Amino acid sequence: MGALLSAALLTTTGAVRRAGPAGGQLIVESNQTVPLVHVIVASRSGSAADPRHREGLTNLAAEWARHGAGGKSREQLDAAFDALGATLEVETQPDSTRFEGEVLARNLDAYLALLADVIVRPNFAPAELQRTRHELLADIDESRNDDRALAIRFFVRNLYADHPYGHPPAGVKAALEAAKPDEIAGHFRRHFVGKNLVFAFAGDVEPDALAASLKKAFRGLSDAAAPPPNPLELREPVPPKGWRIQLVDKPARQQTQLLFGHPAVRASDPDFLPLSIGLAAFGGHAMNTTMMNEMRTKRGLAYGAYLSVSERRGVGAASGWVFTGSDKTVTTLKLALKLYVAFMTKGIDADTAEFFKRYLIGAHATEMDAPDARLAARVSAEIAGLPPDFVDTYGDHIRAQSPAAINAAIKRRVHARDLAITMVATAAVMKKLLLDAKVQNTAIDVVRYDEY
Amino acid sequence: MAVLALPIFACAAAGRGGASGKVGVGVGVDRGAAAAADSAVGNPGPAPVEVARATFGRMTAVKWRLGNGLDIVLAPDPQATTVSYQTWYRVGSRNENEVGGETGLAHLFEHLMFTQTKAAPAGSFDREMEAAGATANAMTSYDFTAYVNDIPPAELAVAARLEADRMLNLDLRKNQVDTERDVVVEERLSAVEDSVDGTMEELLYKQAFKTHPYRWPVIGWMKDIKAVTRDKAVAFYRRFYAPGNAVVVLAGKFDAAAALDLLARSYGPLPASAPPPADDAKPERAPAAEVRATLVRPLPADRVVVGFPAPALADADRAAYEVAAEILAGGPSSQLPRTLVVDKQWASSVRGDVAPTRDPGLYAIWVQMTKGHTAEEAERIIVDATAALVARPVAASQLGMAAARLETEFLRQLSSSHGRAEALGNFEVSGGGFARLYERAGEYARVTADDVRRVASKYFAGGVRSVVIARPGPGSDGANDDDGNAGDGARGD
Repeated sequence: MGALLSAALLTTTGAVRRAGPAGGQLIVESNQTVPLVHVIVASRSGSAADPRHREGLTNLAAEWARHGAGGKSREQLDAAFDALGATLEVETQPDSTRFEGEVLARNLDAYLALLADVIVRPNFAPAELQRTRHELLADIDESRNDDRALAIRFFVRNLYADHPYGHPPAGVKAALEAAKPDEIAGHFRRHFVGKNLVFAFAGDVEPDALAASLKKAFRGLSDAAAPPPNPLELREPVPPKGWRIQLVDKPARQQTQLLFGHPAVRASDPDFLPLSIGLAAFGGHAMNTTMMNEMRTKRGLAYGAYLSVSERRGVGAASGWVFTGSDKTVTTLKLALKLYVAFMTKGIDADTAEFFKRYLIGAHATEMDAPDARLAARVSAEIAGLPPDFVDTYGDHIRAQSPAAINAAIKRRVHARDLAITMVATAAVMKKLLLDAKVQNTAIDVVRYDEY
Repeated sequence: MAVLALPIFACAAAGRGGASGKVGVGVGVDRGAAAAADSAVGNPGPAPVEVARATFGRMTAVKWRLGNGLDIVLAPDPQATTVSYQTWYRVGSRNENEVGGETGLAHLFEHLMFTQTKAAPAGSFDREMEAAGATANAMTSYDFTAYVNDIPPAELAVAARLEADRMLNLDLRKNQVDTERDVVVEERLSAVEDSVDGTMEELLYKQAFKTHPYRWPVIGWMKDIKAVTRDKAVAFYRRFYAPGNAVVVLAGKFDAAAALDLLARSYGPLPASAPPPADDAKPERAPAAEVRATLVRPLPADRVVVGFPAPALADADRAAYEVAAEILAGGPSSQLPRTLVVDKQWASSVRGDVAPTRDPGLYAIWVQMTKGHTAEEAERIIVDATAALVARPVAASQLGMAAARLETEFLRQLSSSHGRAEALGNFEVSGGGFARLYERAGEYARVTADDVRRVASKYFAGGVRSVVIARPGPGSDGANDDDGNAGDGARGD
C-alpha cells in the first residue's frame, strides 16, 4: 500500500511564484476545470498585531476598508462586487488578515480593480466606521448563540492569557469602542503595504497575464517596509499550571462543550510535523483515534472527540474538543485527562505511527482537491514560515518521520498535566457535579457567558 | 445563498461510524451472506448499459445501469487530486414511520453502516479506509442517505469492495445499535436541544407541514431515537438498502472505463432485490396558512426565521425562484441584508436558504436582531420586500447581479471532486436526474423580470408563512421537553 499511496500524492500542477505588486509575494495556481478564480490577499499581520487594549483593531480596520473604497460608498461597492458575481470577505486570524473571495474568470480584471480600491484606496468614511463598529459588536453578541464558538472565545484567553494569541480576532467590546478613526486607518495603512502582503490566486487564470493585471491594478500600493512583528508575539506564551477549569455559565444547557489544551510548538519547528502525527493518532479527524475509540465507539459518551495542533507562526496550541451530555461531563473529562496523560507518557507504537502517516497523506490529498482549500493552505504555509513547496511535498515530509521522532516530539511538546480547561455549561448544575467528583472549589472559575 | 447546500440536518455527521470490537448477540441480515461470497468471486452479470450523458464546459458525466438495477454516474476530471466516491440511497426521513415511532431510523444508518458485515469484522471498514488514506463520512436528508468517501485514486478498489459489501451484507449487533443510539442522542443534544437554530428549524418545518414527512426532523424525535431497537433497524435496512435503490457517483481523478469495470465487478454479483415500498408521501404546499411559534433562549436579542413555500428542486419554477430568493437575501447588496443590516442596523445577520428537496419545501430567511429591535420589525420588512416582488418587476441590474452570483455559487460547488459528486448525487435522487444539474447553470441567466414576478405571486402572496421567533431569556421554556420533541413546549401564537 505504501507504493500506491506514494502515487496518490498531490498531482496538481503546483503553484508558481512571482514578484507581486510593491514587493509583495504572488502565488498562482492554474486550473481550468471551471471558469472561476479563487482569490486571497493576505497581510502577514493578524489579530496578534493588535496593540494592548485594542483587541480587534486589525479586524475592525479591514472591515472598515471593505465598507467603502475608491470613492464608492459601501452600497456602491457591494453592488459592484455583486454585479460581477463576486464575493469579498474579511477573514482575520491570529497571524494574518485576509481579503478573500471568488469571481467568474471573465470578470477578473474588473474584480482586481475593486480589490485594489479596498486595499489601496479605502474611503475610511467616519459614518461608515460607526456602522462597522456597530455591526462587529452585534456579530460578537450573535456568536455567543453557538456554544462551540462561545467556548473557543473564552478558551483562547484561558490558554494564552495576555499573549497576543490570547484574544479572539473579532476583539472585545471595550477595545472596539475605544479605537479612534486615525488610529484604525493608520494601523491598516502600516500593515497593508506591498512587502507585507501575499497575493494568491487559484483557478482559471494564467500567471503571467495575472501578474501584469495585478501590477496595473495595484499601482499606488505602498512599498514601505513591512511593520515589525508584535514583540509580545515572539515570546513564548506562559503555559498554564496544573488543571484549572474555567466554567462558562450559560443557562439551560443540556450538553457541555469541553475544550482543553496547552501551548505546544511553532509550525516552523522541526517538532511540528512529528507532533502532528502523534496528535492525529490521539485525536485527529479519523475514527480510529484514541479519543474516538475510547469516548465514542466503546462508551458512547460523545458524538465527537478531537485533538490537534494549530499551524501558527508563533507557538500554536495543542487543543482538544469534546461535547457530551451534562450528566456525562465529569466521566468524559476524567477520561480525556487520563488518556492524554497516558499519551504523553507512552507515546505511540510503530504500527500506529505508520497507520496515521498513511492516513494523513491521503487525507491531505483529499483536502487539497478543492482549489479554495489548496489556496488557503498555501497562504497559511507562507504566513507560518514553512517552505514554499510545503503543501505539495507534505506527504514526503510526513513519510520521513520515524516513530522515534514522533515520540520524542510528544515527550517534548505534550504537557498533559498543565492544561487550560474551558467548558460551556450551566454552572448551577455543572459546578455541583464537579464538586461531587472531588474537584476542588478553588480550581473552578465561573464566568458569565456574555461577559467577554 | 448556497443554492445547492443541503438543509441543516442533511450533513449530520462531523465524525460518525465506528464500531465496537465487542461480539454482540446479533444475527446477520439473512439476505447478504451469499451476496458477500459472490461479490468476492466477481461474476459481474450483464454488461453495464449507458442510460444518460451530460456535458458542462470541460466536464462530462455519464450514467450507467447494471443488471441488478444499480445506477452509476461517472464524472472524471484529470486535474483532480482525489476521487470522491459517493453512494446515494433513495431513502431519507421521508420513508420513516412517524406514527410507529420510527423517526430517525434513516439517519441512524449513517452510523450503523460503519459497524460490520459478515466479511468485514467490527471496525474494519474505518480501519481499511483510513489505512488507504481515505476519509469516510455520511449524510442524511429528508430524501436520501449518502455515504461519502474521498479516496486516493490508486485505492479506488478498496472503497468499491467495502461499499458493495455493506450494501447488502450488514451484520447488525445489538450492542452496536445501543452504542450508536447513545451517540445519536448526543448528536441531537448538540444539534437541536442546545442549538437555537436547530430548535427553530425543527419548529419551522413541524408547524408548516401538516401531512408530508418533511414535518419531522431528519435526526428524529428524541423519544424515537431512544426507543430504537436492532429489529427495527434490520427491517429498515432490508426494505431500503439494495442495488436498485441506490446510485454510485464518482467524481475526480480516475479512468472512466477502468472505474466502470471495477464497479461492475464489485456490484454486478449483488442480487436484485424487491423494490422498496412505494413512497406514498403526497407533495404538500406548505405552509397553507400563516403559522407561528415563539420560544425563549439565551440570546442577545430576538432571532427569527420566516419560511415561505418553495418549489421542489426539479420544478420548472426553481431557477426563477432561486433568482427571486437571491434578490431578497443573497449578496450584501440584496434587499434584506442591505435594509436590515446596513441601512437600519436592526439586524446583525440575514441569510436565506432554499431547501433543495425532492418535493416542495421551504425557503427560510433567518434574521438575528440587534439589541433594542424586535423580530416583528424584521418580519414586516420581509413581508414588504416579498410584496414588492409581486407588485412590480425587478430592475435588470438586480436580475443580472442575482444570476451572476448564482453562477459563481454553482461553479464553486463544481470546482472540487467532492462538491461535484455531491451536486450530481443530489440532482440524481432529488432533482429530476443528474443531467438537470448541468442545465441549471444556464437557466439563471434566462430568468426574466416577469418570471420573478410570476413566482413571487405564486409563492409569496396570500400571507402564508411559517414564523418562529426566539426571544432572549433564560432559555428554560421547555421547548425541548424530556422527549426532545421540539415544539411540544413552545408556544404557538
